[in-house]
Order: sequence, then C-alpha cells, then structure tokens
Amino acid sequence: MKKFILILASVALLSCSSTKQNIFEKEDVKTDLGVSILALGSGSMVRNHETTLTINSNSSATYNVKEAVTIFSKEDKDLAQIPIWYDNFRKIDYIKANVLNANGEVVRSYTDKDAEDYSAFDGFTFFSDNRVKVLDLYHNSFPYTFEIEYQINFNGILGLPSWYPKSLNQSVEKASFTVIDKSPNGIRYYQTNLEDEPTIVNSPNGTVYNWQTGYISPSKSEPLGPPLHEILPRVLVAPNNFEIENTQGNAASWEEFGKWYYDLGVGTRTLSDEAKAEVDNLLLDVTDERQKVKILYSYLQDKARYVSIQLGIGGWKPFSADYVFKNEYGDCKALTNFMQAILEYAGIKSHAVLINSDSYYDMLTEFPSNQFNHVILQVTLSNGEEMWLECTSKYMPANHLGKGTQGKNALLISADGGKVIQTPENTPEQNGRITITSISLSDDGKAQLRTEIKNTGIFQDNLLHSLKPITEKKRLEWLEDDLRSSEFKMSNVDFSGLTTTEEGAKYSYELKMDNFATRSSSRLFIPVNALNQWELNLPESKERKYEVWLSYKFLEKDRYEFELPTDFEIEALPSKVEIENDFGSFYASTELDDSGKLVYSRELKITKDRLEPEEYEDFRTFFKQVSKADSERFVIVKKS
Amino acid sequence: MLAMKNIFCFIGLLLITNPLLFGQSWDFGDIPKEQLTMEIYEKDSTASAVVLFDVGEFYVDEKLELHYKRHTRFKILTDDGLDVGDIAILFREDNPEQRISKLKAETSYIDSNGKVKKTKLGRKDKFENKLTDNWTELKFTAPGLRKGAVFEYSYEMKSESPVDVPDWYFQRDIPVIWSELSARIPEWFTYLPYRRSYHPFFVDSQEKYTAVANLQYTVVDNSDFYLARQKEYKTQRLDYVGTHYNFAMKDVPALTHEPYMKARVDYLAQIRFQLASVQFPQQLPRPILKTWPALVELLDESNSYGKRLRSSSTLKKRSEEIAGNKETELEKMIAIYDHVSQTMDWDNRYSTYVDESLDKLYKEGTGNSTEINFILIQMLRDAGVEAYPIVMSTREHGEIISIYPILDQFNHTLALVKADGINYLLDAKNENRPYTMLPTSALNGSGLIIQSKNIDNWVNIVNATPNSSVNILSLNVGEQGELTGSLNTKSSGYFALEDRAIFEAKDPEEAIKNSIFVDQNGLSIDSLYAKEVDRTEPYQYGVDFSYENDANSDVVYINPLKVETISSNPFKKKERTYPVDYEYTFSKSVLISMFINQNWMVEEALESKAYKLPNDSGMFYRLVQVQGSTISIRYTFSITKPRISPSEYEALRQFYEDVANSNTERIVLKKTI
Repeated sequence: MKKFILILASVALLSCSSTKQNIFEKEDVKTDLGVSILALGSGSMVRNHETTLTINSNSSATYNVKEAVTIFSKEDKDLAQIPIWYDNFRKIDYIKANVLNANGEVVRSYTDKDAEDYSAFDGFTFFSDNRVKVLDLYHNSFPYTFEIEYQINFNGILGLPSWYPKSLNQSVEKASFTVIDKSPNGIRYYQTNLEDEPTIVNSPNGTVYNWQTGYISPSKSEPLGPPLHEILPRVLVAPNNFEIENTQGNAASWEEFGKWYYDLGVGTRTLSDEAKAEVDNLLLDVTDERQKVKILYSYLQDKARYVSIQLGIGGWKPFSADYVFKNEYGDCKALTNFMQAILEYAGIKSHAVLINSDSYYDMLTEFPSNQFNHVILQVTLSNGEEMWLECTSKYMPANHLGKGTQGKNALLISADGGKVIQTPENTPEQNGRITITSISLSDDGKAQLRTEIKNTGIFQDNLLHSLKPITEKKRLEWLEDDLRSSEFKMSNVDFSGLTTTEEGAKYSYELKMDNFATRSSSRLFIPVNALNQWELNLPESKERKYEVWLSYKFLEKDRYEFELPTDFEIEALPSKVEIENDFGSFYASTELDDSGKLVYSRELKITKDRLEPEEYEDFRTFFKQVSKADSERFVIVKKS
Repeated sequence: MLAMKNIFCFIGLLLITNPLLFGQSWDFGDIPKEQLTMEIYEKDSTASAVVLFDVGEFYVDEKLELHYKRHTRFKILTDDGLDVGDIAILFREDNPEQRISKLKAETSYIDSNGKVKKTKLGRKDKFENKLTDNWTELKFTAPGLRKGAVFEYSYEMKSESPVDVPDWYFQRDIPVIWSELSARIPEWFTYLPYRRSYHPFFVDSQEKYTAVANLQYTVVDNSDFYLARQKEYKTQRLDYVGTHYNFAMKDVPALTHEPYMKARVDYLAQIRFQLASVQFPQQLPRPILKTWPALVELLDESNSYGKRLRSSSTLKKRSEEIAGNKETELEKMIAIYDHVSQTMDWDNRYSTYVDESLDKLYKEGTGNSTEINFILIQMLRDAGVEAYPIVMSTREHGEIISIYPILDQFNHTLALVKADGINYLLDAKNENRPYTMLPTSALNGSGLIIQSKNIDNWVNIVNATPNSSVNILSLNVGEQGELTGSLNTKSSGYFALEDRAIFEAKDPEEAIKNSIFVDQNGLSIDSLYAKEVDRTEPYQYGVDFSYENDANSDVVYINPLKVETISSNPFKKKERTYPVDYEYTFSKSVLISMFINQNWMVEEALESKAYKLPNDSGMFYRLVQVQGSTISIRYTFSITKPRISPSEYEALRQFYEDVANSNTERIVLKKTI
C-alpha cells in the first residue's frame, strides 16, 4: 500500500515538471536544419542572449542574464557548465534553467538548488570570500539547447560586469545587452569587436542603452595568439559614481578614481614608535636618498611576506602599516602601503601605482574604471629621479619591475587624484641570459664542464625566485634535473652571485659527466649546445588571423669552448646560421681559436613582443631553425 | 539484575598527562635556544622547513565524545618553508559535529638585536571556509613568520562521536623530527589500529592502566535500543582497565615525489584508529565496524547504491533497442557497453554515491564513475545479461586496507559481467576504450563484488590485453644522403589507445610529429593512413616521411631509431626507498631496415647490445646486421614486472642509463664517389 502511494507521488511530480515554462519562445530556440547550417563550423551557438543591467543607484544594481545556447556535439558540452560567481556584494537572487530538445520542448528543469556551491579562489590567494555556484546543464543527445536565466543583486558597486555575448568557437544568432541607468551621475561604456554602437534613449525612468547583434561567426584561438578579451566582442560599463561599504567614489575620470583609492589609504600609514625606531636605526648615518630607499626596500623584503587575503572592501582597502609591522605579512596593497609609510617617515616621497599585472592585459587609458589587480610603488627622489618598487617580491633588486608590470599604462595615485603614466620597460639586452662554458672532452666521451651563467632582468627574477627560497643542496638538485643522464658529479658550485643587485645574478658550477658525448668505435658526437636548448615547434598556419603575443623581449648569448682529446680530429661541424628578422635574430657559428679550442657561439635575440599576423610564418620558421641548430652535434674522429 | 537490561553509559575519565619523553618539552611557547638558532637540518640539507615535533592525543569522555588535542611546532629554514605557516584544519560541521577550540599559534625568532621576538595570532585573523555540506576548514596564516623562525600551533577538537578519529600521518613533504600519537582508551571501547610505514616506529607500545570512572547509566526496560524508555538513573563509581597506546616516529624523511609512484597515501607513514565495537559492563558488545559481508549487504540495500539498480522504462526500452536483435550474451554486452561508453560522459568525479535515478542520469548523459557503470549494469540486466557492481579503489585513491570494512576506502565501481559463461570486468566511464580494456586507474588490486548478501567475494582487477607495439621502420638513404622512410605500426593495449588518439586528433600530422617521432627537426609527414579496425583489435597505421637534407658533406650521421626511444634517464636519484611502480607491463619493438644508396658506404654501423634487469623484470636488446648496403636492426624494450623493489633500484637506474645512451648512437655513412 505504501509503495503504491509513492509511485503515484512520483508520477505527479513528473507531470509537474513537464509543464515547466520555457524561458524563451519555443519557436526561437528549436534546432532545425536552418540553425544547423547557420552554426556550421562552431561547436555551439548562442541562440538568444539578453542581458539586462539595471543600475538603481550608486550602490545597487540588478544584473539579469537570459541565454539559450545550442550545443552541437559532445566536445563542446563544457559550455553547458555554467559558473555564477558571488560574494558579499553580489548575491544570487535566483537561477532557473531548462534543457530543451530539438523542438524547443523542455526536457528537464533546474533551479539554484541543483547547483554545486564552491569557494572560488586561486592557489595564490590564501583567503577570499568569493564563491561560485556551478550548474551542469547536460543532455545525452546532440544537438540540444539549454536556456538559463539568473539574477544577481549588487549591494555595493565598484565595478560592473562586462558583457561578452559569446565565447571561443561559438557563433551567435542574436544577442542584446541593455543597461537601464537610474543612477544620479550616469555611466560610460567601452566596446570592442562589435559592429554597432548602442541606441540610447532617455526616459523618466532612466537612460536606456541597448546593444543588438545579429549573426556573429565563431572566433578560433591561435597558438601564441592574443588573449580572449582582445578577440571576442565585449562591452565594458563603468559607473561615474559608485558606493561600496559606505565609501563613495567617482570614476568619471582617472583623477577622481585615483582620489577614491587615495582616500581609502588615508590614516592607514601611521607607524608605531617601535616601527619608527627601527627605521631610524636603519638609516643612521645614511645621507644618500637612493641608498635610503634601497635599505628600506630590503628591510621590507626581509621583514614581510606576501599573503593574499581579500575580504569585502578589503579587496581595495589596505591592511594598515601597523598590521603589517606587527604580523609581518600582507597582500600587494598592504605591503606597498607599508613601504610608502616607512619612506614617508624617512622623508621620501612615493606614490602607489595601480596596474594590471597580467602580461596580456594593458589598461584602457581612455576608459576610467576598475581595471586593476595589482599595485606597485613609485618613489620620487628630491632630485626628481624616479625609482620603482615591487613590494611583493622578496628578491627583486630595488628599481626593478617584473614582466607583468613593465611597459604598461598604470594609474599613479596621489592626494591630487589619479594620473595615467607609463612604467619603464627593459630593452632585450636588459633581459639577458649569458653563459660561458668550457668543456674538456676525453676520448671515451666523458666531459669535464665548467659553466658560468649570468641572468639579468626578467631572467634574473626567474632565477632568484627559483633559487633564493631553497637550500644549497636543493639548488644542486635543481641543476641536476636538467641533465639527461644520471652519471655525473657536480663540484665547485658557486651560488654566491645570486645577488639582488641591478647588475644581474650569477652562478657557476663544474660537472663531470660520463655520457656527455655519444660514442661509436672511432667517433664522438658532441652536442654543441647541451645546456640551453630551445624546442619550439609551432604548427603551420597559412591563414593567420591574429597577432603573435609574446610576454617579453630578451637576449640569450651562449659560448662553449671545447677542448678536444688530442688523438681526435674534427670530421663535421654544423653549418653557420645567421637569421635576421624584424622581430629578432639568431646567430650560431663554430670556429677554432688560436689555442686549438673549438668555440661555438650562439646569440638569440627577440626584439618585439607584438608581431603582425603576416609575421607568424616567419616566426614559426625562425624557431624551427633555432630548435634545429640547438640540437646539432659536431663529430670528431680518431686520427688514423 | 543489570544483566538483562540495556545501559546507556557516561564515563568520566581521569586523564594522566603525557610523560615527558626523552627530556623534551612540548610546552607551548617554551622554545629551546637551539631550535631558534638552527640553520640547516643536517639529516636532510634540502629541507626548507622541518617539523620539530607533532604531538597528538585523544580520549573518549563521559558523554562518549571524542577529545582530540594536537600541538605542532615547525622550524622555517628557507623562504620556501614559509608555506608551512598557512594552516587549514579540516572539521565537520555536522554528522557528527566537530568543534575546534583553544586554538593558539605563535611565532618566535631572534631579531637583529639578538632578542627573541614573539608574535601571537590575532583573535580575528582566522577564517572559516566551507568546502562541502559537511566539511569546513579553519584557516589562518602564521604572523611574524620569516626564515629562521619557529612557529607552533595547538588546538583541541571535540567530536560528537568516537567513531571518527582523524588519521595520523607521521610523514609529510618536509622532514619530521618527532611525531607522536597517544590514545587512552577504556576497556569498553575496542579500536583497531592500522599501521603503514616504510619508516620504523620508534615507539609502538600499549600498556594497561587502571583508573576510576563515574559511570552514569540509565536502566531501560527494553533491550531494543530504539524502543527503550528510561526507567532508572544510577551512578556508579567503577574501577576499570584501559589501554594506553603510544606511537612515535623519529627522524622521518620527507616524502617527495619520484617518478613511478602510486597514491601518496600508500607510502606515507601513518596510523589509523577505527572504532570496532563498544561494550559496557554487563552488556552485550555493540559492533560499530562492519564485517565485509555486512558491508556488502549495506551497499546492496543503500538508497544511494544498490537500490538505484532497478528497472525503468527508459533504460529498458533503450536496452531492447540496442541489444534486442543480438544473439549471444557477449554481443549484447558489447553493444550495451559501446552505447553507454559513447553516450555517457564522465564528470571526472570518482564516487560511490548515486545521487539521482539512473533514468535522470541517463537523460543528462553525464555522471560520476559509479553512476555510469550502474547504467551499464542496469541496461545489461534489462537485456537479460547477468551483471554486478564491484566496488573498488583507484590507484590515485590508494590501496584497500583489508582489516577495515569501511565504505570510504572505495571510490569507484566496475561492472562484473557474466556473458556466455565467461566473466568480464567493464568500466564504461570513457569513450574510445574497448570493452577488453580497463583504464590504468582501475588497476589497483582487487574489488568487492556486491552480489550475494553476507559473502565477501573479491576479484583481482587485471587487463587481459597485453600492451605492445611493433614498429616496422624502413629507411632509405638517397643519392645525396637524404633520408626518407616509412613506418608501419601495430599496437595493442594502452598503446593502441594512444596511437588511435594521435590519429584522431584535430591535426593528426602535428600530433604524429610531436608524439610518435623522436627527432622532429626537419621532419615532414608525406602521407599517413590508419586502418579501420574494431577497437578491440590491435591498431594499425602507416606513415611516410622524409627529413630535410642539409648534410652537404661527404659524411652523414644517422640515428636510425626514429620512434619509441628512451633518450634520457628518468631515474636521476642515486637511491630510492620506495618501490618503482609501473602502471602496467609492456613491450615495444622496432624492426629497422635501412637501405643505402650506392653512393654511400657504411663506415660505422651500430653494435649489437643487450641489457637485462634482475629477476627477468625487463630487458633491452638491439641486434644489428649489415649486409652490403642494407642494415637491419631489431630493437626491443620491455618491462615484464609491474613493480621493481628498492633493492633492484640501482640496477634499474643503470639499465635506463645504458638504454638511453644506446639510443642516441648513430650510424656513420661515407660517400663512395
């Protein structure tokens, strides 16, 4: 009897769900032949997308997304996994979704209860209040369509969500973005890869911006291509005035936005007497200002470590200098703020500089808005000279920036507000890796090597961040990992040159290696460049669409001096390579010097980090030739 | 009088504090000078930090609640070691509830003035991060932490239930100087300790102690616990005997990643405590830990496991459509396996919980590892083929501890199918794999059949298909010394899967260059073909290729081994404590015929060579024959035992060194005219 009731109940439930409402008109989201033809070449297609952003006031907004997407094959089902992000300022109001068959009929329905909830911060962040709800809208036969509608309420506005009508390999049938602006001071927008400007209608209920798009063909990614935000259509929206956790700001201009950030830091740079005493003590008898900056920077590097904790407005307001002094950790804002505080106390002027440290993201200078994820410090000496400090690094030399912060537009913060400036950029020569190796070969293929390596710029950063945090013994293991053989003995390893000075970081070692050369009964095959080989084989592309983006320019110089066993003579040498291009050059050659040593020299230089699409094939061939040259061996044969 | 009654007991235990072992002080904040001044850990000078001590203890109190205490002290030796200051303490918010209290954390170091500076964790500087419905982590980071600092923290945890005692790991990714767990357990509780370690125990003792407890009990009038009503309430002062367990390890090396290792948990030195039964005075024992047969029954009747296997119209209909016209059970099995593995997509989660009806999961086309194989089993049953679930633990999840019949030890389900009198093990959670092959992750010992109640039948999980690849490579050296050739390969087992994936890649030419050929420089693929064969058959393909000729000289040097070669030694470390674990055994061979144009003569061919591993665990040979202008080479590399013991490691390292060197050798040809 009990069982019977149960079955009835479940039938009732099932019939309930089959009467579920479509989100879009059924006719608009069914997948007929015409749709399939239109979507040809894309793995999925946005059938309709309607995002509405209603800005109610400076601190409140409603973000509503309605979207229907047809998935054509299993390979693209990942797009049916929908993440919806939230935190203390963004609350999910509701989520509803349906899976539809080819006729546009609802097969299954979902609500926010069906979504999995996760905390959402990356491995670099120790703690943040970001969370995500993930809804899987899967189905077992293709093509199928899912439709979803969700709404997020903002109770505090700093930035507003960007609008992307589609992702990679996806085409669009139609999409629209509507912004209803009821805020007192208005908004601004910025659009890329979209054909039409929005229509703008003023009404008593606010200003309504509307973007519409018809069919858009799928965008494909390319190796070493630009990041997604450069390729895809998108609209950015920014408020002129905003309010978050009782702080009010103005982003109508960079000046005003900078002012807001400056004000957040006011009152957070008070130092305790204990802290002041430490600074006094460090600067006792130091008069040179530049020297003072170096001493205080290295004091910060020794004292505090980088820990990222982002909570609420804490994502913007730095921990106080006192907190950092006491707890000896902080995130980029807190450490920069502390550095600024001790410099200030020492009578040296400095400014926080907001920046986006992603190598592939430079700020849009013409669009004041929150585009930043990092802050660095610019010091202005009394003679007007500038110094740059990356306060999250324990090892960088003073006046040195990492690869994500060089040559970028950034916002300098002062009491007067924000000002767009450019950070300095290293020349290829300043990002250098120079090696000199002497190799003495015996007639059984064993080798005794001595090598000296000097890195500058970005290579120096990489080296110091790999080797400074570990013990001497561990550094040896780091060196050994690169060797292909396990039969070796390392000696006279010298890491004393791993200094954080501007001249670069050095190390050297000696190595006895049993199987350095390959032997045959009368010959030795010797790698010309055993220690710094490139292996970059890019796929061919006759119709390159996008630029090539590299993360930095650099120079590599390698010199090997081979002392050959006396009873051998040279049989074959690799041919000389000389390649010059707009984006770089490569030279490799061998010659016998006066003392009878064979000298192999190699120079690889990359002078451009943005290449035209037409240059891709040359770039590919260039690295093919470099890879080939790097794998060459020369041959010596026993004298008869 | 009490004998026939059920008693609910509360025990007040007298705790005896830990004796000071070996004169060391565990006192919080009492840091000996040598710990502050220590600069390097002599026993392992690669260590970026060490655990100075890690001391834990637990007991069960008068309310049957588990009290757990832990105190851990670290020394930071390099900046890399600062990470140990990021602490996350995992606890359950519910079922049973666990509460963290008395959390203390403090860092000490000697500052530039030679004074000891101490920083305490701020009251607000800790966070709770909800991970799942039940599990939450308490996070904090050590204040005042720097190279050279000593950092310690301690906390207590109270758990509603004495069943779950946190596992104790003596070993970490940094060395541990001292690690100790003690437990004081009254006679009424029987715990089963489980020890696993490659490192010796320094202390592994248990001794009886006597103590007095205030045993409070209610006398109830029914022997059925759930229907019991309280009748009387009594307090009795009782002498009892308890067991005091002590486990400790000294100088435990860091467990670092090395090639060819299984799940980390299979190596970590550890002790686990599992509550097996409870028995109060004058009562019958109440078993807590199940037996394997009971676990089979539990799973079979669970609403999120066995009960999910039931016929539904959708699955039954599909099953009939797919297998209805098939004659034999084997044909039905193959058809249904192919259908499920192609239709159902794995969500990359291993689990033994089936949260939804199979019908719904089938319609969604996505499921966890068990859900997919449940659909397979159900559709097979619907087609009249006998099929059962086998619960198991994957390689990543670790070995099964046979003394613990606990569900958590499993994370995956396979299907055992009896078709036409033959047993098959199937795992449908991926397309492209034929029914004859299990994924490597499933090759981890044995699994438990969920079939007849009260019987624990275990099956050894193995693949029947050997893993081999035979490559016929023909090379031509032309007039100018240019090299062209063709490769014809037949591969089976996992190699067939790999090769098929390469040919089915978006850009097969690129994939072939990258994944099949060793020397890509100057390589072009002129044509390729793959034979259409059933996935259960060996995969066959052919490639014609050529190399750019830039050797404008009278001598050319050719490494004839263009495929399948090992050119560097994966075993760099001179010593190894843990066995080398291959996922599977295999053999690879290359048969090379090299035809040389008459303009060229062989100046040096390769020598024939052979190397062997002890105990027939593996071998390498290269047989070379020169006949006029043709060089023939037979090359074979095979590993025939999946596990190589540490005592054979040195031989293995040398074996790979020799093989890698042999594989870089070249043939020398000279111009004749």
